[in-house]
Amino acid sequence: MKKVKIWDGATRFFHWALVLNIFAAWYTIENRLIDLHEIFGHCLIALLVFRVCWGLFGSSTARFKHFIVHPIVAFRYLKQSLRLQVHHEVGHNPAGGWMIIIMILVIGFQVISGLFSNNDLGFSGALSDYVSKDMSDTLTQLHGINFDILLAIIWLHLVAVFFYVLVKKDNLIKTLLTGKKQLTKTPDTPLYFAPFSLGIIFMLIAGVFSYWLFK
Amino acid sequence: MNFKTPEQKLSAKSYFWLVALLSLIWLYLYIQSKPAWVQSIKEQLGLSPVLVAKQDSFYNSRIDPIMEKYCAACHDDNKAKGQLRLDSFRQLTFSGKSGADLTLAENNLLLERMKLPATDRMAMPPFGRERHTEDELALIELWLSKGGSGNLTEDDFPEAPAKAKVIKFYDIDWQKIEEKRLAYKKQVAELQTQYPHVLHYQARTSHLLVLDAFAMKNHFDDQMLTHFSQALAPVLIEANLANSQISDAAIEQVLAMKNLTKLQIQGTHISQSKISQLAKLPALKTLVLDEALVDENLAMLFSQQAIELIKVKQG
Repeated sequence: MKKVKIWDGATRFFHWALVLNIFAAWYTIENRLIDLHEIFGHCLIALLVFRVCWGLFGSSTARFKHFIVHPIVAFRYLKQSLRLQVHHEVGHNPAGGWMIIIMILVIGFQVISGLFSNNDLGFSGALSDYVSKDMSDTLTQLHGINFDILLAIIWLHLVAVFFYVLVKKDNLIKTLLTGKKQLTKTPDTPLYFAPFSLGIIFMLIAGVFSYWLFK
Repeated sequence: MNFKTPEQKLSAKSYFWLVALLSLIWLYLYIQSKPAWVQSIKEQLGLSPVLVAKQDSFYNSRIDPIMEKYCAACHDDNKAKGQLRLDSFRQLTFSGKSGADLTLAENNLLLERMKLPATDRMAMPPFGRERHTEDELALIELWLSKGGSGNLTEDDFPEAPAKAKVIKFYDIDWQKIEEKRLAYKKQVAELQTQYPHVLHYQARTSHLLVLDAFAMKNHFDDQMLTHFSQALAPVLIEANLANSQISDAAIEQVLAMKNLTKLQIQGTHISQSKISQLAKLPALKTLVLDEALVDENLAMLFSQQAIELIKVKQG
C-alpha cells in the first residue's frame, strides 16, 4: 500500500467551498437575509467559473477529459460497482464524473436563475433588469423548484459517497480533505498537478467576473 | 472477479436497504411539509371532507377581501412567498413555511406580523406596500377570536361593523367604442355638417346617437327625417322631434329606428291613427306626445307594450 496524492489543493478547496456556500445560501434565504444570500450566490458563480477553468486547464484528476466517459461506460461501471465487481481508485469514477457534470448544470441553473430573480420587496438579481417582470417571476419560481432538484442530487451524491465509505471501505471524504489516498499500486500514468499559482489566477478571474456581475 | 475490501462489514444490500429506509423517511417528511398535498390525498381517499369555507361565510365576505387586497399579490398560487398562500380559506389553513396554525387566536403569527411597525424587517405587508387599517386588523382578530372558522356566517358576528358598500366603476374600453362608432362615422360626420346641432352621441362612452330637432324646430320636416333614418336608423336611440314639421308620412321612417327608446313627437302633424303604430317599436320605453291625441284605447295599447306615455298640453 502506498499513499499517493490524488487531489490538488484547488480542487479540494472548490469542493468544500461549494458545500459551505450552498449551505450558507440555503440558511440565508430561510432567514430572509436576501443580501447575504445574493453574496453567497455570487460566490457560487465564482466557484463554478473556476471549476470550469480548472476542468479544462487544471490538474489531471480535475480535468473533464479525465473523468467524462461515454454514458454507457459510466452505466456499466455503476452496475458493476454496485455489485462490488469493480473499484475506481484515482480521481472521479466514471459514474461520479457524470454526477459532477449534472451537479455543475443544476447549480449553474440555480445561480443563473438567481441572477434574474426578484423578491417583490426591492431585491432584484444582478441581471433581472434585462428581462421582463413576468420572466423574472417565472425564473424566481424555477429558482425555488430547482433547489429541490439540487437537494435530491445532493442526496444521491451522499448515498454514493457513503456507499464507498461504508461498503467499499474507501474513505472518499478523508481523501478529499487530505488529497491523499492509500493505493495498492501507483497509477500507471503519473498524475499531473497544475501549479498552485494557476489556481490562484483562475480563482481571481472567476472572482472578478462574479464581482463585476454583482456590481 | 469480485472486488472485496479487507474490512468489509456492511453489505451492499444492507446499505441500500438503509438508504431506501432513509429515503422513505425523507420523502415522508417532505410530503408532511406540504400540508396542501396531505389534505388533497386525504380528500381523495375520502378520509377528510373537502376543506373549503362556506359560500356565505364570514371569512369569504369579510376576511378574504382583506387578504385579497393586501396579501394575495405575493401569497397566491403564482408566488406563494414563504410557501404561504392567503388567496382562500383553504390555503390559509395550510399555513406556510413556519407551519404555524394561522386560524388560532393566541400567538397568531400572521396577526403578529401584521401588527409590527411598517418599517420592521418582518412586517407584513412589507414596507412600501399598501397597509391594512386598524379596523381591518380588528376584524381579523374578531374572526380569530371565534375560532378562525370557514363555517361561521355574518350572523355569528353581530358585533362586527357593517360592511362598507363598494361602488365599482368599470373600466371604459375606448377602443371598443371607437370601433363601434367607426361603422357610421362617415354618415354621422356628413349629417352633422349638413344639420348642425341636430345629431350627437348619447354619451362619450356610447356609439348610439340622439337626434334632436330642437335647433331646427319648424324647418325639420319629413324629408330631413328620412335622411337621418336611412343613414343611421340602427344606432338612433333617442329622437326629439317635438314641434317639428313631420307628418304621418314620417311614420315609416320612425318605425325603421328599431333601437329607439325615447321619442318626442308633441307639436307635430302626426295624427292619432298613426301614433298607435309606434307601439310596434320594439325598444321604445318612453313616448312624449300631445295630451289631446291620447284617448283610453291609445293609453291601453301603449300600457300593454310597457311604454310610458308622457302627455304634454300644448299652450
